[in-house]
Amino acid sequence: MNENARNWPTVTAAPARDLVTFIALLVVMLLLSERLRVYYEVTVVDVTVARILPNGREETLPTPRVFARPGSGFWRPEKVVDLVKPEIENYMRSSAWSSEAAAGTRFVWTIRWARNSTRLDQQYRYVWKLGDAETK
Amino acid sequence: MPKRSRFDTSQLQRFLFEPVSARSAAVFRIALAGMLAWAFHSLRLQRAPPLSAVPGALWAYSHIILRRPYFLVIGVLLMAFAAGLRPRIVGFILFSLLLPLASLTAGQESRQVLLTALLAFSMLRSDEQWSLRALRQDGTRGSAGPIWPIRLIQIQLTLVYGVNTLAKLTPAYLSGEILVGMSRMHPNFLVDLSHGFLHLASLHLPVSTAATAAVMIEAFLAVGFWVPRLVWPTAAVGVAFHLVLQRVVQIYMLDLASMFLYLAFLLPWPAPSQDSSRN
Repeated sequence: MNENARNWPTVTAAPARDLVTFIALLVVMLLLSERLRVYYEVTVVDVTVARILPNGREETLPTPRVFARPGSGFWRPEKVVDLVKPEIENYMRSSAWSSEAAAGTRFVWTIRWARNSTRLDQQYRYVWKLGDAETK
Repeated sequence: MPKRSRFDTSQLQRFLFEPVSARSAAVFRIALAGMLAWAFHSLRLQRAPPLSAVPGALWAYSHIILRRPYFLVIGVLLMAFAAGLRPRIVGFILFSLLLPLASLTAGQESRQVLLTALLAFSMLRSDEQWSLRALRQDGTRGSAGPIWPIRLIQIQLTLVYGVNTLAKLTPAYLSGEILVGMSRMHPNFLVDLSHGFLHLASLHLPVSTAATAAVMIEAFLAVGFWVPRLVWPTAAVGVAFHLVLQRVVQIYMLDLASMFLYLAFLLPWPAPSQDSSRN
């Protein structure tokens, strides 16, 4: 250590303690750095719905706005169905679609999703029937 | 070999213990107080869901932390910090008061970055100039302490860009697929990239080119600040990058927090040599 370096300032009055503090804070920063990643992955989810009338005629319905961006892209792919399904059930319970539907009408909800891709290769169909619900 | 190791040690000592300019420390202290006041206004934010699992957290957030008096105390302390009133003690108190606000529904990343900066900076005697103590003339010094707390802030900035570069070095990101997906899913995206192009003014970039360029720029920002000749050009590239980014996606605060940390590279940190021997 040269003469000048011997007189360099410290925070804790001992360079060794300073060094330990520096390294400790550096390690904490490195461990927490993973939390600083942003906009590097996305879960793309698409929800569509069709109504099948008692006579078998199928008509595509406009997807309700509440299902336009499910999870805003942040949901983990394996959780998509678990999170979307209750929302569909809630929606159907309160919407005019089910209250105005004739007996025997079914609503087929299709949830498609993919992680980090726009090719939505995962799919789940949820059939809502008045009175009960079945899934495919 | 011993010569080489002595050289390395001396370089490392200089890197960590070189005296910091008291004036630069004062400038950074005042700027940091202002930035913290802006970045931590939280009255419209809610606690993030994971906090519900912590016993007592909900009560503390509802009855103490997300209340006006709590922010009032923080405001007073920030003013004291800016004025250089015992900035080390006040800095550590501020850190402990602001820490719970880093787990709210927005700004978690930017708050983590700024809290790290506050914690590191609170190690310095930043009241040697432009402070109430300096006004009273009871012994001002040219140095605010060793430079290693500033090095931590510099490293923090590098980590922000570095971890994002590494996270985006994937075929899915570089092909533009993720950007297209985000433009469909994230409500804060201001552009629709579904057709595979990014339109910025008269520029029509294929989305894969835009994604690759973004990753390259972030990599450059992670490294460029450490090359003395490139500090100012890197800062200019960084500011331009974040300005363009604001036309693509509305980011809560991380871009501003990152640009704020440029000060850790831009300010003249080494203290004047005649003062460097004073401890």
